[in-house]
Amino acid sequence: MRIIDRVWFTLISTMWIIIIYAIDHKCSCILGSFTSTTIILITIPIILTALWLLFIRVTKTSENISSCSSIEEINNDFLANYLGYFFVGLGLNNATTLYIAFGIIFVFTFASQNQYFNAVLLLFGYKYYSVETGEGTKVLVISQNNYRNSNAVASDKLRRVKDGVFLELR
Amino acid sequence: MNCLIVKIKTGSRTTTTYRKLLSDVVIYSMPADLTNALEYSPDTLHEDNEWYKISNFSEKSFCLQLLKDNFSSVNYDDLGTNDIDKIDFLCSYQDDIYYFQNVSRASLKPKKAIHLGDNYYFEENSKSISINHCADAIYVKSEDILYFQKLPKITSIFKGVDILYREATDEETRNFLNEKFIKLSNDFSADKVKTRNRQRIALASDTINGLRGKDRKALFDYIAEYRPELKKGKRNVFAIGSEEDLKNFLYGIEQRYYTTEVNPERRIANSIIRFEIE
Repeated sequence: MRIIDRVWFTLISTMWIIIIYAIDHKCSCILGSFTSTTIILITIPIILTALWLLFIRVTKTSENISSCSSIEEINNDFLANYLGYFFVGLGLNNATTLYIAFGIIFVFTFASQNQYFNAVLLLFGYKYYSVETGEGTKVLVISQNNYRNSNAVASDKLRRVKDGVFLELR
Repeated sequence: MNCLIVKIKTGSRTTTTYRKLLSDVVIYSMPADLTNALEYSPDTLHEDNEWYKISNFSEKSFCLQLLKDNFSSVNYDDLGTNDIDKIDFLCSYQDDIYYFQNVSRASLKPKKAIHLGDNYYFEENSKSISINHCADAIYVKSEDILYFQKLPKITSIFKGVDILYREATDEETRNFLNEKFIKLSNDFSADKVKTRNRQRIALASDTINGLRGKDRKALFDYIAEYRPELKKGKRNVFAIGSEEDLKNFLYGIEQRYYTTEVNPERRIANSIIRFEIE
């Protein structure tokens, strides 16, 4: 179960390489035209992310957090990774190189802990916060709320994405 | 918000590690009769279904840090399959009340079981934890009181709570038996003193050391009155030759002997409850 979860998320993140590559090489494989190919390719990660949100809401049990001592917004830390995918997509010349590069990046992203950063979630209004609880544990909270004060982070509508990473539902 | 966590044994003496097991489940229920709980004291015995309590629990040295902090389930990772054998005790957090249950190593061993449900199947290595009807200990955070029924069940959860149930050490026992007011006979000595009397000695030495002069004399006269067979010639000296003699003497120090007012009858108080008239 956890493996499927990680594969899914890694796919959503690294898929952009393929999408940018396809746009760069003016692919028109879907529905015969370039425009429709582009539009459909771009919506795939968006739909997958929405499905993932639904999956988390339905299958995971609730968690709570109370009394935090520090909070930091960390969206910017991951942006560099993301831009990396885009540049890789732009830099590839042929399909073989694409498959190999995609495979390597997929494996590394799967093994790393950063796979839970997803730019599409930012589109949906979620922000990433690194929070320290009252007991000193550092966790990642993905939430649509705007938090400036650590005392405001107290909720029992969290879902565990994985140990140390939690999504806050509205 | 309900959450079930377990403590696992990590071999470390300084850190306690908990793992999360389940959320959103109501596992234990509050017993109906906690209002009659008695404050714990070693010489208070209670009826079968009654509970003891320890008030101001968060100030005691054996209180867990878990109970002093606010509960956040995010602090705890999920229990991994290779940690199952290290489960020490369960703690179910339900609406700001913590319910504890000890889990023994034997109950974690894989058992042969037949699963009954929609399908029936035989499982060679089934592992499960049985939930007792009553939790071993209940901590109500809003009152800062810990409720429990049997002290031995909670000593492994709250390390150090057995100082409430202190036994006299060998040295304390020897010192007690060497006191001026005791004369040993029949080769009775400190090594022959068993657990129950050791517990009583711990309390009795505290009592005796708190009495001086006239009070001591009055106490010894009282003991001599109810247990004349313990007296040996000289005043204020008692002959102890067996566990039974020692027990009777210790009962005397705790002033457990009394005579009823109406229809005078001599009795021993098996259990005492202290109270004050308001």
